[in-house]
Amino acid sequence: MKIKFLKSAAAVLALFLVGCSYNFSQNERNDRLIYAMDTVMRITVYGEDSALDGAEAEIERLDALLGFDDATSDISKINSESSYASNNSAYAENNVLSAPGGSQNDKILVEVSSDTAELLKKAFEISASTGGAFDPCIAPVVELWGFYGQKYRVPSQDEIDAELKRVSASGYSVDGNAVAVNAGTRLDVGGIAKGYTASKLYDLLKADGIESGTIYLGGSVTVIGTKPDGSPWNVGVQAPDDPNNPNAYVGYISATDTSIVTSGSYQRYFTENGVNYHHIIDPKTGYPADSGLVSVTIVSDDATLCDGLSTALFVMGLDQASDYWRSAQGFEAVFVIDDGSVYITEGLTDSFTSDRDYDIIYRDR
Amino acid sequence: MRNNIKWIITFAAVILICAAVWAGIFNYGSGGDTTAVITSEGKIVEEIDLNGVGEPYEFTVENSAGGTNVVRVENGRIAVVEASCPDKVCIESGFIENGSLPIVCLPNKLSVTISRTDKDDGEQPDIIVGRALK
Amino acid sequence: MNVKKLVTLALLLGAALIIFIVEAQLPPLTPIPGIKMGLANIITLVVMVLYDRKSAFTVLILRILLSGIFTGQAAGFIYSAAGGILSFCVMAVLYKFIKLNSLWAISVIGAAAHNTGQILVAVLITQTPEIFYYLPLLIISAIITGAFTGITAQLVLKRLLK
Repeated sequence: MKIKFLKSAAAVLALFLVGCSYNFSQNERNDRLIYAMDTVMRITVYGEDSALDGAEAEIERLDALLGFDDATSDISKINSESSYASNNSAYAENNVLSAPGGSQNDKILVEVSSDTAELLKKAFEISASTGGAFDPCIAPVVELWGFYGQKYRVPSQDEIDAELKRVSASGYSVDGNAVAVNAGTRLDVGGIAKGYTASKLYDLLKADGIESGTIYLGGSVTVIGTKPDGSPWNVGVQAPDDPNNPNAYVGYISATDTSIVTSGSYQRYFTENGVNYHHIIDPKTGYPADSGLVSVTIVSDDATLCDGLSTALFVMGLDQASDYWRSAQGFEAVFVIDDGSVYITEGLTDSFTSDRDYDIIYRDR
Repeated sequence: MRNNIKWIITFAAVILICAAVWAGIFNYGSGGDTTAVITSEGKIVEEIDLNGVGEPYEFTVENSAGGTNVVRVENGRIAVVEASCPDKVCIESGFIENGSLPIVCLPNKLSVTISRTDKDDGEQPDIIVGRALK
Repeated sequence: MNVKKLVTLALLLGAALIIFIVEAQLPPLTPIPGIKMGLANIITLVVMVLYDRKSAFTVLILRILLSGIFTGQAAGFIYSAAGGILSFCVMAVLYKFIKLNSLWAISVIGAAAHNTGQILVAVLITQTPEIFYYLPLLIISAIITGAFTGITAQLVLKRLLK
């Protein structure tokens, strides 16, 4: 009798413990810090730690495909084939693809993986839509300034003019897994790859059953669901006038299932002879964009769009960017001007909170 | 001998003063927002609002020399639970929950401190986007 | 210097090294970084009295360097080096003014300087001023351990100088 009782007690206890631990692991917070794509990334989920394994693997996979410095990446493949083609006209002839509409620019075709193709398609779309303010072909000019490898220098006007000729994604297209680019082009998708990765991670984690979490990839944040207590995530925008202070923000955005990306001149720059040169190069001039903005923050549920537009709108400057926003859909923005004033687009009126004064940009002027 | 007595008295006085100061420090810091700040090699790598922590969790900090410390975060307190350093002093420090004493791992150049942030009206953001990349 | 001095100093250096390394193997007394007995300081004081401050400084520097190499801890090295050198400077200055009978007092102040030096370096490297809060405890510990090593040094010297 006693043994029977003990057995059933043990069974109940075991069930209870299993049930409890199942509950605990459901809600337990798990973090992973990963260094990839030249930045520190932190994925936080309220749920199974195993979901983070999938996330980490996905980051590594995409990093291997999209990295500019990685000699085996798809991007390097495109760049080396395009470079080879520009030096070998015979090769170019055999791989020539007439541009749509039969223009004079002959293009080469490069086969890449479906993710790279998808990313480049978006990159070209954003480039076209923003009139070239975002351009993935800007790499040769960025290289001149020494931003790769931190060998900073101020290039001469002649050097810039020479490289500017190679910068233009106009007419580039993607068909299936084949990318059509000009010979001599050099692509760097760093300005959009993290956004793309964030959107892939978001899909992956949601499919894994994660209902609450954050994906922090350097300058971009994607929030999954709400916080565990059901309230929206509060994402602060770094104050450009105090860039190294992790507590300084111009305001915060309350969001769920959204991506927020900031591009700012304070994020990466060097100083020579007392002048600051930052890393957001204007594809039209070849110089760091001098648009009067110090940071642009884009809010959208399309993470890739956020990433690309944050660069593009920074280059455009407040007025042109406001016009662009009025004519477009699918995103909101926060602008910080070099005099410190803050502007937000109308759609953020209810979700933006700040101690500072700010102006609202309305859709109807 | 007279000389020595002079010294003994002096040092005893110093001990008493230090003990009093220490008692003051030990009891200082209660209530208010407690934000844990973790720095590695002089740079802030993590800031956690301990009062906002639900389920406890742990994460690893690795410095440029490969030294690692595992930090455990619970509601209202924080500790170092594993470390690659030889003396493990940081682990013995246990949990800290108020602003006075930090946990330090000198060989790994890690420190965990709690700063009392004055609660201002309104919430603080959970995460900040757009940090400097340098 | 003469051979006898050289040999004696070498022996004392060896002793200091052994004492330091053995002490480093012991588990830490408290969770606070920097509290240890600092027994190797006995040798520093003995050399300072037996010979001169220059010799003591030489033995100290050699001990710091060699112990850093032997224990292989590049990380801890800078803390003990800073503490050791600051401590020596303070003791060297006091040595002129304090009677031999009260050598132990010099040891106490030297120990306090050692711990203070360590804290300074720790704060600078980790950029955490909160470490200073440990100072009162470390000074109390310095007084106790400094007295112990100082009295030991005095007793040793008494025997040696007889």
